[in-house]
Amino acid sequence: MRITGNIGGRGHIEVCWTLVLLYAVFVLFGIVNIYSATYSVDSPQWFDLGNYAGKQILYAGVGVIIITVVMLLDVNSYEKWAWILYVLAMILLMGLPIFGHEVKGNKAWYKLGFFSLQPSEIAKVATALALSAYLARYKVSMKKLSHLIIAVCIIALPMILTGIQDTGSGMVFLSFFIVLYMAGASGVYYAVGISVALTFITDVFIQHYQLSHWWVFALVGALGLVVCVYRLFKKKKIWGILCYVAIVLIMYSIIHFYVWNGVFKEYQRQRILTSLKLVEDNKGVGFNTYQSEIAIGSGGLWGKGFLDGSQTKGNFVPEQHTDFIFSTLGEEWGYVGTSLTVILFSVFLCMIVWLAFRQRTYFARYYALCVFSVFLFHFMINIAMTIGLMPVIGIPMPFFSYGGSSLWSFTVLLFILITLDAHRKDFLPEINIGARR
Amino acid sequence: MRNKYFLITLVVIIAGVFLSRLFYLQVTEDEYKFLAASNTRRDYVIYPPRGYIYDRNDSLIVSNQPAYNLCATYSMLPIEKDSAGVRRVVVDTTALSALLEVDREALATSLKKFRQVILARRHSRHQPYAIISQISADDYPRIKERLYRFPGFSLEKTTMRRYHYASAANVLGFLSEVSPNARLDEDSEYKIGDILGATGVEKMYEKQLRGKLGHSYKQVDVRGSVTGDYMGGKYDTPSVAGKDISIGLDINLQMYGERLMTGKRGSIIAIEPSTGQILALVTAPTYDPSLLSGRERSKNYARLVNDPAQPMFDRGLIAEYSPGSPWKIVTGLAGLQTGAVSPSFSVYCGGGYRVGNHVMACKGGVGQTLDMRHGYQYSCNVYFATVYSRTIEQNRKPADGLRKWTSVANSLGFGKYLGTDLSTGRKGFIPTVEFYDRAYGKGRWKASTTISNAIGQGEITVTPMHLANLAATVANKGYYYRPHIIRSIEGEDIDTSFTRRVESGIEARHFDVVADGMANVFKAGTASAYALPDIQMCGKTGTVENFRKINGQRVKLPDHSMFVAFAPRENPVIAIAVVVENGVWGSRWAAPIASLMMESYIRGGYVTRPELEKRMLEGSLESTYRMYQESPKK
Repeated sequence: MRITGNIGGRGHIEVCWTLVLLYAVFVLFGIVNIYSATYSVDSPQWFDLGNYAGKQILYAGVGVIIITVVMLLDVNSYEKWAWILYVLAMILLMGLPIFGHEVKGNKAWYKLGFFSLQPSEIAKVATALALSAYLARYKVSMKKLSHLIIAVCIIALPMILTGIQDTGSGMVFLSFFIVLYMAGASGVYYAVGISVALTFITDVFIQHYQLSHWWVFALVGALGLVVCVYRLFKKKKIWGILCYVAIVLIMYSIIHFYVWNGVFKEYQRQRILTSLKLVEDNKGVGFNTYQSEIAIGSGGLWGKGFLDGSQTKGNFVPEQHTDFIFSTLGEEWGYVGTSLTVILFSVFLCMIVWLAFRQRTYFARYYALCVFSVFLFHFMINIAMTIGLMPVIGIPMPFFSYGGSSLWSFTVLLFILITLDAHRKDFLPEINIGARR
Repeated sequence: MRNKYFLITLVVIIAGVFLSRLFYLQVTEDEYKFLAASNTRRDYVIYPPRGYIYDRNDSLIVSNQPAYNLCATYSMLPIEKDSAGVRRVVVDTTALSALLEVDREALATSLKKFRQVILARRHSRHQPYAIISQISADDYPRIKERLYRFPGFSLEKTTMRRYHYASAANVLGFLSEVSPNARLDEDSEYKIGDILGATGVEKMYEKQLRGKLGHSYKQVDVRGSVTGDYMGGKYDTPSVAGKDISIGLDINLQMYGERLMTGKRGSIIAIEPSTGQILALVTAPTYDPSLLSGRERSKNYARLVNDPAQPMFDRGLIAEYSPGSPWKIVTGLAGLQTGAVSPSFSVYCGGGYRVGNHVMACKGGVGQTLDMRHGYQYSCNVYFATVYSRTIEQNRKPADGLRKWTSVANSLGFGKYLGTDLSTGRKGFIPTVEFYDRAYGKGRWKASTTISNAIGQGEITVTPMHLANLAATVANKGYYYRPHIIRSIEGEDIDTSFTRRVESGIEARHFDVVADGMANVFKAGTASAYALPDIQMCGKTGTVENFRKINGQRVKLPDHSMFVAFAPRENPVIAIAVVVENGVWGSRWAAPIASLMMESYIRGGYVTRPELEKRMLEGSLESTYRMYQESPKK
């Protein structure tokens, strides 16, 4: 499903209409759910700007204008302007603590008269572009430590700047590490990272049940020993494994003795404990997830029907039109609705992967992977927290959640990709499409 | 560049996890649907009117009257920041207590308790909670008019008990509220602040009187505000009014008994022998039941509980006494039933029964040879001591004799709970072989050691209820029905244990002898002054020694005056036990009161002996009670 023609007066274009269609479906279905989540008998109009649904419709309308602009811009400009945009975004982020507008204790916004600007959303797009631009540079290789460090810095800077104001939004930048991996960064780093995360979770259990932390040392040590013996038996070197075990144990020690009590705030610790089902606190920290689970669970197979969700109507789930919009969907549209949404979103993600690998330029390919990573991260974290699989991390569900800034940034992110893809045949192939590196 | 299938696998795994988790949440697990329902549904309880209580002649004794609860809704109370910046609920307790005419301290305590209940999440912040309950309808308009000055407070309609007679408080019992500290089961039908029977009939027949609560389900939002009927009222259930009950009490007889007992302490229990229904259960002193209803009830309750005369202590049910001479009925029956003596067994009374160096004096048939019938007539201690002695020692081994004697006493209901439907009671005590073995050593006691048992002194204790039941058993010649207060319940049968005879196992002919003796008591014996020409009464007087520790010293108090009787001799309709504490002789107070009670009941509410009645009504033992009162501690 694609049309060919001339848009913007440059050569041959081929828009991926499947992605556009999925985008439209998500946004419209999102509006339907926002309408239900914030429904009030007193003002049932869809197009009332006093309602959230009405505003979201307006935002979507503005989105169409943004799409038009994105698609009409010179397709080469994205790579060219990536750095300027990145620097601009970093300046905006740095200015937040001074000029930011405080909402619920977080200074994550600039208030410009009637209009609010969320720099972290701009930073998301800017970082995606800048990282892709860097990775696409000639001779840049993730096998090289110096290059890897620069790439990590490009990601870490906005992550830290955003994370200071809003941990959840900051964590989104972690998703770019998937791109680094795809670009060839060594799996060892990821193995260590995942191992540390696993030992961290183990540590939470161990602390909760008041067991000695030596259990973790014993466990990791024993595992390392088994692997070493195996490798010695096969007459292979073992120093790599020993280093690995040592790093994991050192990281673990830092976590155990410092991070858990030093870095995490009480509410974060509680969120982690409740999500691991170690603590039941359905009225406190666990309230959101508990209510969300009830709403989704009570939807059943077929759902309660549009506007018939008793949990939704009773406003039991906090932040239901924004981060917890999936619970409205779950209650009113049932398993049919949620599974269809999950499947469609997965198709959407796979489509992006497919698009990534048909790009002819590195920049476009890496950019596609960045887009994929950001959407995957949002999709995974958001749904996982609404169904009680992860601690509550306040990030929106792409296209579904209420909010102009996030809708626009996701739109820009996606449509730059669609534009790049549409023009892909304008570029000389940098990559041998058939080859695998 | 790495493989794209890695990313696709990642997506598929995540989607798979989500799909299975969602399947579990939405399709497999039903719990969430239930939780969702309880989340959005608020159950409004509709309290049905409590059942009425009628007496045996269908006179209405207890009904309901409208009343109002002063309620506070936490979320609507005004909140201000104090100097330290802490948000506090502000209520002008001085003005409010003045409006309600209650003690400021009491109001402040109630409000504090309310706050604790709210903080402990035992009550919704958005629902009214009763602070002062049962404000009478008379006060309603006045309070309502001014209540707008106190935001968050409202008057909610409720009902309270209305007592048509200032009588039978101990029988009817009172209602109380479920305390905020009460431990309630998850599925308990009661919640904090609900009214329930605390004692008496109200407690024992709570289930029937309360009725079935109705439920009205409303849809609510997260703040607890009602947004409409839940499912259009599909699951609403109407309340079912409490059942009316009828009790065996004759309210006129009860009131007459209470009047006769004014100025005295003790009890009267009258039972209908043919059914076991309690006709009157008087304890003296008593109180007006309406004192424990309405907003003054806690103050009144405290006063009653602290009264040294103990009006809340039901002497008919939980006061334990030595039975005294009425116990000779049991001694005689035990002698006859065990075959130790025959009715014609005669003893010469020399004025005393010698046990070692001690002589048990007899004031009865001194200088005469008496058979059993005359033994009762004169209440001869010597005669019954001899009978007891023969009963215990007929098999040479006192233990065997005592065992038989104990079992006769038990078969007549002594030494155990009678299984009544009254909210309280006592077992009393009948000494056993094991008891004496412990006290004296095995085989080191005999009849003479325990001779006090013959005349109801010594270790035996009974309650007046036991004595009334004894009278009923004699009237029935060998069986009784468990004494009970209930007569009928609307649309329901009463407990079958009250309609089944309890056989004593003692032969009816032995009761004839006892009844003859008891008839003689009225003809020519200790109660002859209270006989009536047209109603043949049977009775037995008792004069019971008693002691009490006063200021650390054991003091012998004036004897208790006791009487056990039934009437008429043929087809008895009333069996009665009367105890007048420290009334000295059985014939001085208890016998005439019993006689008047029986006459009044049989004649349907009037008596033919105005002088006797007047003497009883006006007679007071207050000066005696005052004399033996514990002197106030310095």
